[in-house]
Amino acid sequence: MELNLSYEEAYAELKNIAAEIEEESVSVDVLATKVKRASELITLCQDKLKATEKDVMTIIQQMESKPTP
Amino acid sequence: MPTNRCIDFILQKNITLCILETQAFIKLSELTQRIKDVINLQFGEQSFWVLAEVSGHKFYPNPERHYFEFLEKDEASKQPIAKVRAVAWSGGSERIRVFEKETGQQFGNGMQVLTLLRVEFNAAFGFQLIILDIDPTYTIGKIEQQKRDTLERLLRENPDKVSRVGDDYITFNKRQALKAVLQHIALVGSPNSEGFSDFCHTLQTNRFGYGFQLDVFQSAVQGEGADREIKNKLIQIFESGRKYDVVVIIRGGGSKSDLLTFDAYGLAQTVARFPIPIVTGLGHHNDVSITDLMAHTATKTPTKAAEFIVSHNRAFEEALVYLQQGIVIKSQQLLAQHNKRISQAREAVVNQSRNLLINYQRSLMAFTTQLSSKPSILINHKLNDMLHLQANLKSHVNKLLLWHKGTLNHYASVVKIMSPENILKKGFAILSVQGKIVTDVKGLEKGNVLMVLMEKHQIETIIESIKENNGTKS
Repeated sequence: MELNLSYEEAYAELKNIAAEIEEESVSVDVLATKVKRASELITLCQDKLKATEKDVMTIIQQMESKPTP
Repeated sequence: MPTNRCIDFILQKNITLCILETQAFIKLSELTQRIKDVINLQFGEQSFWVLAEVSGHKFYPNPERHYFEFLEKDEASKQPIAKVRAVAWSGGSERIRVFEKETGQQFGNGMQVLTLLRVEFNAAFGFQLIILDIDPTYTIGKIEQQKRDTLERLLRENPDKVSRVGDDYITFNKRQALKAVLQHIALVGSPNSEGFSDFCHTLQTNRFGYGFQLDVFQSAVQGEGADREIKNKLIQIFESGRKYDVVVIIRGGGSKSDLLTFDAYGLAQTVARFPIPIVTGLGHHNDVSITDLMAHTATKTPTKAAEFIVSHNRAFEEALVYLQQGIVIKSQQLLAQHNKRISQAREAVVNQSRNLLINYQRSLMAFTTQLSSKPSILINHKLNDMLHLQANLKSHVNKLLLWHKGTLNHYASVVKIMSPENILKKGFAILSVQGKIVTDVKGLEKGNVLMVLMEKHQIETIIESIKENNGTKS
């Protein structure tokens, strides 16, 4: 499964799957596949978020460690 | 002749005289006393408000004394038409100090002043005017008039660079945008003045640690010709081609105000038209000079001018810090929001898929229950049907058998009735020729032997004739 999606793409797909499941329009045949896909998307989004968070924190720390009287 | 004149004078004034043998004379002190008497008689303690120009001014600080001459010039020729020595003793000097404070002008040469004075004749010093009071209002009015004239002229002669909106003057210099950070400064002022060191000190010891590059353009900032010198320094700054962020003109510290320098048309015009923003700090609190009005930013003192620059830079840094904080907060919020969204999506997927599975399971179970109960019901139904069918079949078979029996009986009786024995019994006979039963005349002819079979007998006959049976039945 290709996972070089952008965060927004992954999130949009994830939302779709959640909505499909909620509407019960997912057949049992593909439910497992869908949930697996959702789990992968969640992991992808979380990884991207964590990475971004880490980057942001580093940048913020750098920003704040610069001399501002 | 002198004697005669003297006598005339003495006679005229009817004063005791002293005539000696050779020449009649009096002592100088006697003369001066008499002059004094005349003057006292004429003027006494009377005082006058007099308008005149100051010249040859000298000031002695301890005790405060002003010595000068009062002048009146012919308006057309500018030649003196009256000139009298004047002095301000401690009372007058005090009034002059008040005057200087109120007008912001240093009492001095060339100044038109309205003074209250008394006429005095001092035997030792001669004739002089004693200053009792000096009216600052007149001078202020005069200066104001001059300022108004200069401002009008600036508007009139520089319509593209100077305009007035309400009480404010909009100049080309004011329209120049200040750079976000001011660091390269051209400073015009007198390096030995207190104001100058105030400015440099404030700038250099700013608590934010901002660095500045300061180029000093040394100039006198008061007194005769100072306005032209400052103007020339501005031109020099312009022609240097260096990219100054701001030009600062300062004056202040110790000396009394002499704002006329900064009300001069030429300097004000140069400031108004100057392409680099000019900040002034001219060290006066009550009055605003025309240069201040034309400059980009006018502050009250050199220290304030430096503070303005520092706080301008600080504002930029604060804006940066503010933006930085905004970015920090916003990005953290955004991250938190996305984290929340993902968790929600995860929960939704988990819960919903679980629910979906449960639903599927339920429907499967329902189906299973249905499936397990339905067949037996179905079989029961079928069994019942079969029983019915069986019962029905039985009765139907009986009926059918009866019916067939009936039909058979009927046919049996019909057959019985129709049997040749019965028919022969009833009187009918059977004809035959050569062993074949005849039902038709066809093939028969006269002379044929015809066998007639009866119930109990058999007759052999010969056919005599064959005729048509005309409907007669036997």
